[in-house]
Amino acid sequence: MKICRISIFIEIRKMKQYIINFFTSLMYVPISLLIYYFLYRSILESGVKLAADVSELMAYYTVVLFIRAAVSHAMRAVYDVFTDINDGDLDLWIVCPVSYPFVRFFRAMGSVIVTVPTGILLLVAAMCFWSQPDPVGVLLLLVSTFLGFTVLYAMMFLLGLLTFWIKTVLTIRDIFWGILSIFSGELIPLQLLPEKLRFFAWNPLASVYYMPARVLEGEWGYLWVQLAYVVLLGGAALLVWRVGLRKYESQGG
Amino acid sequence: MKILMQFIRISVKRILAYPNEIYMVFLQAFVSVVSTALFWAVLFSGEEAYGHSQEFVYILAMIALLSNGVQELFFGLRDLEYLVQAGEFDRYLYLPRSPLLLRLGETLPVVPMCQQILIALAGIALVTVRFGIMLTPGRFLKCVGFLLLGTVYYQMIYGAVTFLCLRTENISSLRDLIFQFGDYKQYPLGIFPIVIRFFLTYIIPMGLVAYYPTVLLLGLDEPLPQLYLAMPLAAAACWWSYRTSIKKYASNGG
Repeated sequence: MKICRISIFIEIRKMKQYIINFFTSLMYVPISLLIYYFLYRSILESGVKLAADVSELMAYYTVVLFIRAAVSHAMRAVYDVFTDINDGDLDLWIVCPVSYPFVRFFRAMGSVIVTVPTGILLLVAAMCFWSQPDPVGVLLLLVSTFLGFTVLYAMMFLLGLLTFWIKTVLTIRDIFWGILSIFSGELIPLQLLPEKLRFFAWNPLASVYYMPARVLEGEWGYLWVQLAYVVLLGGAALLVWRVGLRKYESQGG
Repeated sequence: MKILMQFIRISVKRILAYPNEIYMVFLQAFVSVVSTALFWAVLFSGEEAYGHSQEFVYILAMIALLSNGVQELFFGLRDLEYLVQAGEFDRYLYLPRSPLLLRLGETLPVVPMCQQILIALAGIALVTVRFGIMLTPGRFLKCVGFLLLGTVYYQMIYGAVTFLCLRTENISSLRDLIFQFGDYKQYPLGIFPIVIRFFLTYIIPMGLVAYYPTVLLLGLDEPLPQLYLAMPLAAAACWWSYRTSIKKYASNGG
């Protein structure tokens, strides 16, 4: 527990490095919202029927964009694991009496422990312009966002661990970003998918953006789904770490 | 020319050094196209058109990918800042060639560039056949010409901001903000109000690299932006930014 606390503390102290990037990315939220507003207004005005109106879509994208700005640092996990394995830095981690996956996770957690609540506070402030936010919903959104972050981190960590076998994973990470944008609900709300494809709303990637947005709308059942994915993917990450470690050959750094 | 060939050889070898990397790079470009196509397919939801026809948005997506491929020529500008911060820009200053051209040549990602261009061309061919569009060589050449012009214009604006890192070392926040305007490239400019259209044509010219080339390719009746004044102004801003910033460059020692 002490190691976890120290890991979080280290990252909070390093926060200065990326806090400016976080606030810059928040500046981009209104720009993105403008794009979506004009796009969907144009679509709906031309008579196309979607499963949501412009205000619902704008509320959805506002949540998604704030979450994206807050948790984007989790994407770094692939690069961290990739460099640790390829540069031989993993040697040090293996000989220390700590669990590498947990220390890396808590360091990543430290990097978002300020950005997630700040992002959600700003989101609530933005929401006040068009509705009265429900305090319980906001609290559960915070929980849901952290669960979504954990799912995203576990997937990124798993991708990083592939370095044990294939040496370079950065292109796979870039491919994953494309897949994430489709299936997480970042690009398009999953409720707009045709009826036959709505089951995609239950895929693990939806935990990152789509499910937190639904939780804020009062569909709290998604929290259990997110929790199940945290257990499943966390377990898979630990298992792959154990198997992959046997393949590790130190590069000498 | 000899240096350029050497840069290309190194770039190809860099990809071939990792098994399967060449397929992964291809897959990455493919996933990017599929995600855009899926986005539009869901929004159309069976409707024929909504101000812009289906073929227009699919061709726009392919032209946006084509422009991504062409923009890889300027890939070296993206991480110039990190190079400066690490003091690694010094080595270009010793060499008897333009530091900027050497940097762009050294980081030229030949394989991803070719793959994106090929996928985009294949995509254009597919959409053309699927929707029965009549393309002429003249319109295609006009489209490619305008795309190149727009890409150079955009990169000059991007470069004018990026070169400030030679003076201030940290410019990523502002540069990333410009970079994020790239999302506008995949949407028809016609859906935006006139002020945003002006902004996306002359200030952050995303419309020039995708929307207008698409208009030219499909032979639509739409007035093109006048770049006779804007282009020299952007070039002057870029040149001034580079010349004044390089004079202020202080090595970090690496």
